[in-house]
Amino acid sequence: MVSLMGRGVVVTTIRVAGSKTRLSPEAREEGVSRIESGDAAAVCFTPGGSDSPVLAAPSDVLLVDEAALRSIDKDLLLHVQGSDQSGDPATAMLDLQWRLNLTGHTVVALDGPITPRTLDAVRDEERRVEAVLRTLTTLPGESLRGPLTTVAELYLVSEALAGAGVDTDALDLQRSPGHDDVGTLAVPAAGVAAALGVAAALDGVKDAAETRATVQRRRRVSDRALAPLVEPAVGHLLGACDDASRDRLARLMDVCGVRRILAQPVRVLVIAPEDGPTGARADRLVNALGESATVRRLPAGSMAETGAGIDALYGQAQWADVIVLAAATFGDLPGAARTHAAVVVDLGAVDLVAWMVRGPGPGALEELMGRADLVLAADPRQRDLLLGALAGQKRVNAAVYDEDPSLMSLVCTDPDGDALADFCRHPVRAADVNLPPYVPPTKPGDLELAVRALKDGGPTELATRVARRLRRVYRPGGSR
Amino acid sequence: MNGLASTHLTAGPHEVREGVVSVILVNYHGADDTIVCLEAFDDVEWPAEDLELIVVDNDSGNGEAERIAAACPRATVIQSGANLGFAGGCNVGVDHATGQYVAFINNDARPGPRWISAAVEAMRADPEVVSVASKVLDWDGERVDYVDGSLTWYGMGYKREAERPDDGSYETAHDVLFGTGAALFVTAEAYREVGGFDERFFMFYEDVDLGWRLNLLGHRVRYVPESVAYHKHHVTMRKFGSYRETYLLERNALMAMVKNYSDETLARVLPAALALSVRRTTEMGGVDLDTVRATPLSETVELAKLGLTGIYGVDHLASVLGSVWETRRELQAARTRTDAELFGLFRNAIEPAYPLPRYLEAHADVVSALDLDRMFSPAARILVVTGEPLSGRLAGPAIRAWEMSVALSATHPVRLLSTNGVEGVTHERFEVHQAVGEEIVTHTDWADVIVFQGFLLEAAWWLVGSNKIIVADVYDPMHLEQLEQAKDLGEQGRRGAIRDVTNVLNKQLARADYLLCASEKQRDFWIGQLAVLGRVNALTVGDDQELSRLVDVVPFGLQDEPPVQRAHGIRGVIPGIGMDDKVVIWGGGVYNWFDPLTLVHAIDRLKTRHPDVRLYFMGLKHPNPGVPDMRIAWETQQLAERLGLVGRHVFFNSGWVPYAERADHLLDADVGVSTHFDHVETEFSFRTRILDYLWTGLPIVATRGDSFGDILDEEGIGRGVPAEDVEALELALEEMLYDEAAAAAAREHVARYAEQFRWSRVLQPLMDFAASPHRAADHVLSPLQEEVQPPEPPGPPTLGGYARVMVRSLREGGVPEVARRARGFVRRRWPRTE
Repeated sequence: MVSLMGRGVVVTTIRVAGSKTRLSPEAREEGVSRIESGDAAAVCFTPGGSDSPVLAAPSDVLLVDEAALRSIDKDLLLHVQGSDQSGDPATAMLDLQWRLNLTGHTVVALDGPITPRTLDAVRDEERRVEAVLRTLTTLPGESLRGPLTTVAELYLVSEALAGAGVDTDALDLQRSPGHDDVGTLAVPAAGVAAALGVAAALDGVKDAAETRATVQRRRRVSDRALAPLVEPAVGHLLGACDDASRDRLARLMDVCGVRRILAQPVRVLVIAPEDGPTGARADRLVNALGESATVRRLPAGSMAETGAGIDALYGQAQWADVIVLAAATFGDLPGAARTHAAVVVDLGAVDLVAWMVRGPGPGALEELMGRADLVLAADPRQRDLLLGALAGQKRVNAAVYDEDPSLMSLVCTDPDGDALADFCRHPVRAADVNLPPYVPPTKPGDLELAVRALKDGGPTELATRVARRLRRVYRPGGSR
Repeated sequence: MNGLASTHLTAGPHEVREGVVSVILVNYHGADDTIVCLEAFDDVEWPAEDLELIVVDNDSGNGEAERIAAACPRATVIQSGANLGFAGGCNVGVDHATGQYVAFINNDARPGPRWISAAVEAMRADPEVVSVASKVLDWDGERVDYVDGSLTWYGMGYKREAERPDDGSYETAHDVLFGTGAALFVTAEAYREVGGFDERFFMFYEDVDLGWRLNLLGHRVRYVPESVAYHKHHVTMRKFGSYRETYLLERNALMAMVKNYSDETLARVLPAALALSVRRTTEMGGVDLDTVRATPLSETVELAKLGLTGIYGVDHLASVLGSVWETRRELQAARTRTDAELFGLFRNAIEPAYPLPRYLEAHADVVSALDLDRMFSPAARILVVTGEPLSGRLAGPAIRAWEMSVALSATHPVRLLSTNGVEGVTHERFEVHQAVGEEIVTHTDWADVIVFQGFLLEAAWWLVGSNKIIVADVYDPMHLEQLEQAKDLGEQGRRGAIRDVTNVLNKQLARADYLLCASEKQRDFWIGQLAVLGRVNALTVGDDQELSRLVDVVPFGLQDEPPVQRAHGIRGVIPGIGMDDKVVIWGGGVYNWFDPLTLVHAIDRLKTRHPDVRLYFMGLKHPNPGVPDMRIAWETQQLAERLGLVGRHVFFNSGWVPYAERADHLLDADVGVSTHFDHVETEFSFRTRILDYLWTGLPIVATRGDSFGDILDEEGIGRGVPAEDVEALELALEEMLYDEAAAAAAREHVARYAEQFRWSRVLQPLMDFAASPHRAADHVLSPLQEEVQPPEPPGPPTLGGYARVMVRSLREGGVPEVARRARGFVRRRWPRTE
């Protein structure tokens, strides 16, 4: 009950424009219950959906927690629903699911039908390809974007030409000499449509760059944490719908190194003392993670020598997807606060008060609480202490609370280290990461108030309000 | 390297005859041209016994191979058995070559007499040069074909100078990214080691790919203008449709990119290059997109072959990607030079190259969205900002900013910006701008590094929270100046001025990634102020414990060029100063921390023994209108008047001498002087006027206590005197003016001492930083600061505020003034609409 108190889940249904798919009441109920229980923020319905998380799967209907949509660009929803006809609704639906994942929300796929799509003219395919490339330009992280977009362009162009039976050696002097007197070729429209879409995507390249900047700034989950889900999603995005085309896509992804990137597990950097209870806890974490993560461990106090190894330490921080500071501070890892990594402040084996008294250093606790994505306490009382510290750093805020009123996702007890290991396997930045800056509302000036009063009730109303104001300000024995 | 790339270049062993050049021509349906080329070797200045001519016939048929062999018996003619293209044909030739050097020449080209000898000389002179790019002219030797190789970011080589007259502009040898296969030399060893021409290219850009590969593997390709060849150009391709060439160019450019770019560069540029290839070629081929878009997918469209070249080129890349990527893996593992190190050889990488409107628009958008301009420019863009006006009349800070711009622009794109006006100054190497307020954004956005003096962080507040690299030039400790300068403002004004300027400097010290100061003593002072701001920490103190990573000494400098007097600035020009008079020059402005009064008294005493002594104040009016006229300047004039010296022994220029004319004044002087009060500002200041004295060889008389005053006697460049000591000053001036031996010795020492202050030397720390600019470690590695907000805008108007304005207006001008202001308020608030 605590986890749901104040949660007030509102489930929204989003449909792909033009689809005729109808959800059965049972399927809908199943989907809603997933969302209300907190198992998922969104449920899609796709053929063969196996009740497991997906990055993006073809679906005509998406049930989604309305709160999860707050960080999604409204333009994308317009594309899905067909209100903005410059997009491709089906691709936009895939894009939407992917973005929900990036913002830390799980999308689960249940089995359900979709309406087969038919594209009529070259224009339709061009638009689809444009949308696909826009998705791949904006959503993947930096290490994945270039290789993935390259794969997509090569796949889309070559697959279309091959599928239409086009002889692409016809222009090659070496392989097809002769016929130089003829200046044109008759080619199937289906063969060249994708290539035209690749070129058409150039018209939106500046918009895409801006969208990318926003998406990447707000993302809460790294590519590596989503890696197992990426390849199937890319297959869906590129329309690789049979084994042969999936094989060809896989080969391209192999050659271009995409699969090598996706095979990299989550990188966890642990800064912990070498011994004592915290050190032992760090050892248990390393064992628990096993091959599900690549773990590096550095001793706390690496910054003890002035100026020594700063660049190397900074390189370590840049390398990680998750940084675990176990009874350690940012002084032990320069630059860590500025990386995109999820930061866990692990005080689960620490006597908190003794640690604070012994002195993590002036300002160290504020820095930790200001930046942590997850704080782990040894027991409920210490959790309360840390919750107070987080509140003082304005981390107990609307974004974090609305997503999880229990605030357990921000600070919890973890005597056994299970929460720590779970988080490291699937790190998610805190809900208040990279919020737009707060802009206080401007107060209206006196003249504006006077004009408003006149409009509301004429000179009489104005006089009444002026008198009221004077009484407040010049109260006998009052402030002035 | 990958065998698939060079099938016809076998592993060997190969015979290698030292000193022998094997020239390889590929013939394909061009026997007549080939024979003309071969016959031209009769006139080449190279021993016949050291020359091997090899012709590879690419299955021309029609008895061409036999005809060539018969016409040129000394050439070895090899029949490849198939059309292997230029790349494969060359590899066949090299595989049969026995020379130490291999040379390639197109069959529609001919060698100049020194074509071989000049190339071999260059390779023998420098072992790093393993390839020589010949100068190639048209057949008549009048116009350029190749004198340099340029490469666009999307992998297309081009020749910027092609078709220009050979007017003597291309006679300097230099390194290039690639030579042209029309006339090219490579050592046989290097050629075989790197895998020769990539036969997958067939023809076009195999030379680009080879040169690029040689460079990234650590070799050098050198353009040698003495090695000349003449070329008819593209005779072969005229036999085929233009789409043939375009197809090969498009697909080969993509292959070259995939092979040679680093992972990071390739990830950024390849997707855009693929798309642009389709855009470029569909537009080239006149594809009617509206018609095609409306076509049902089930139908066919008739398209110009030219319009399909990009699409098929992309498809080709997809089909060969496996083998090309294998080559890439090997090459990237073996490379020794980074992309950044090679971008300079691309010359102008951001060149769209085709005048097609939709393509150009897309190219511009891509360059902007991916920030390719910045990526391919190896040098950081530097914005130098001064708060001084830039005109013919430059004061110290402006001079410093100007000289920094001159020096930096030799190796970097530079803009010099004044927030106080620009009039009539330009420079061929950098742009000069003026901007205030939000106008400055354009320039700070452009820059990677911003070097500034003065109050920039107040005007451009956004820089404080930005990721720009900020270099604060704090050679002028303004807050110490204010101790004297602000005395004229009264007690509260003075307190405020000192506090405000200290805050300004604190902000600079807190934010700067690198700081420049004028002397070692001043550096210690700044380190103290940095310490209290928390900037002296584990992250900024280097291994040398000297904080040299954060603050360096860059004194004021003097010009590298010697001064030239074009006309007398003082003698015979200023009434009362004759050609034979002894002139003491005060070579700068008159500010409250200086002490010209003691100097005037000294001159007054000196004149009794030496009636020919003259004191000239070079400028009373600072060119920056923001610098106030100071009390001490007025007092000096008053004193000189009172002593009856004005126009007889003491002279004032009430304006400011233009920067370019100051030599005319300084070279008319016998001694340069600088006197000041004993003051904390003095201790940490650096008298820039002293630099002008050093530049013009003047012996110097100055008050001790500042960075120069204390070394005058020690270095023998003049005499130092105690503060406010009239007698000592008088005697020092007398010695430097009238003791010929002492003055001559001082001048000699000045000439020696001045060398260390040449701008080219003193700016070296800044140049070193600019070569590898970076954020300060404690800005990059410490926790996040509060987000910087813009300055508070003025609050909304209040009734009380209006009432105060009314009362003031009544006082100033009665009812009519109130009415006038009310009318103005109404007009501004509710402007009339048309």
